[in-house]
Amino acid sequence: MARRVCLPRILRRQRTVKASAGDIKKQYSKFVKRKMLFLLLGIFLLLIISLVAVCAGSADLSFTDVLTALAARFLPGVEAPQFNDAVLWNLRLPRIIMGVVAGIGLAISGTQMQGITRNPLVSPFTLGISSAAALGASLIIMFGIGFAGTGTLLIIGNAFLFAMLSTLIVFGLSKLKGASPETLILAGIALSYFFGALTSIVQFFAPEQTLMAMVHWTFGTFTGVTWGEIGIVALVVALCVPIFLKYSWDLNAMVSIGDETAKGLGVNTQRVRSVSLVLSAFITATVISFTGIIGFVGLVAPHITRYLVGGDHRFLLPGSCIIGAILMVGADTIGRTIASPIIFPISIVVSFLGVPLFLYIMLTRKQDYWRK
Amino acid sequence: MIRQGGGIDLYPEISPYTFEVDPEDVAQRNPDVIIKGQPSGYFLTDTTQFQQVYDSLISRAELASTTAVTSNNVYVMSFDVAGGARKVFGPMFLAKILYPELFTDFNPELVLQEYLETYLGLPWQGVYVYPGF
Repeated sequence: MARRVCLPRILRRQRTVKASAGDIKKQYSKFVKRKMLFLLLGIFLLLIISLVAVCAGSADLSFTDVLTALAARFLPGVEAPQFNDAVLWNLRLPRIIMGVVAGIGLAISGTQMQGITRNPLVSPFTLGISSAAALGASLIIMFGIGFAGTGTLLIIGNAFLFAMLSTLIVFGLSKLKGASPETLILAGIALSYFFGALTSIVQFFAPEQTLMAMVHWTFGTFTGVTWGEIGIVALVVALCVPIFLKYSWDLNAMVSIGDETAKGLGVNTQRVRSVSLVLSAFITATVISFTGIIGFVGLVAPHITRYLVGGDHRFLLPGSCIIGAILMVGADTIGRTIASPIIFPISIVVSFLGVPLFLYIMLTRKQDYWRK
Repeated sequence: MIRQGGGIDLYPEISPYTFEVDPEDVAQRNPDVIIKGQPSGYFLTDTTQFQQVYDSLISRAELASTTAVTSNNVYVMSFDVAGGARKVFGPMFLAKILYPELFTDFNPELVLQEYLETYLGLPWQGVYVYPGF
């Protein structure tokens, strides 16, 4: 070349790729290594944030207090005051671990849903899950069936039931019309409004304190979460995540080259879509039945991750799990420390935290990763 | 309502009427009395429901060392005497709970009974406070 010309990176890479197959392999492994490094960094960041979260709170526990209380449960010689132990093991750790597990579940559901519908505006709640769960919970709260322990169980159970009901109706409706992403979204939105209207009717007739309880449920909270509940959510997430990860390549195909070509390559698009839909709904319904409605994570965690690792689902799926967990734990910690002793509902804090972050990443990144 | 009944509320500095509060903070502020509100009351025939709520409240690990729990000053009260138009009865019940020695000859439930039977024409029934006065 006579003059020094500034080539865009893409062209430069292409010139190198044409050189040899060995070079391609090297580039590919560098690509993979970079993504893996990012994932590891993400996990590390999550651990740091969790550590900060464990030490943060209204009860003035120093770092050594926290360590002692943690160790006291495992090492026979170490003693910790009952209050410290209660605060750490009954109040803080459950919140944080539920935040991690719920963040993973909601984020991966969102990523999967966006993948199978090829639509960046989709979240698990597009299926009407949040409205249906709110209706289920409101009905139980309104009619005061059960109380204390059993009341909460009924709220959880009914919220889950209605959420899955909504999913099945959406699924059935869309199958009538060929189960394409468009019909799925349309049916989901319609049902979302329908269940929302029903919930409003219930709220309209509710007396003061009951209405307060209903609205409070929809805000979402990690207060009062028990280890048993964490276990259930963790189990569901642990069962579904490997299935989602197995579909990484299929999703890559469906998103970037379309259904027809993907089918030609051997991807069973119908099955991927159905299974992903039901499992995403299952995870989301499970999480929000226990915590209340936390809406933003499933929508925005995939996008943030996409800007950071790109659209390859092999890295996007685990990446969004990590980002989702970081968002949840961070939001919960901020929500309970910023205006201590008031706890701000998590859905509100997640939105306030996630939106600026998302806008910042969107505005500072040069490339659009959606179609890649 | 707490102030009307002669008590000192735990969060005088916070102005919103209802808010979610950090359980750690409640335990740290060490309340002398804990009163939990329940939506049912008039239609209850026995105290089992309130008792279950009471038991689950007492068994919360972070509250175990608060003055309220150790001195048996935890109560479950119905919103039927503390909510909506019936808020006027709340301070009476609260006063009786907080200062029983000052109100030995006063029974708020009699006032409530008069209200229900004479003014509303309803039969007297229901459970409003657990454990009773």
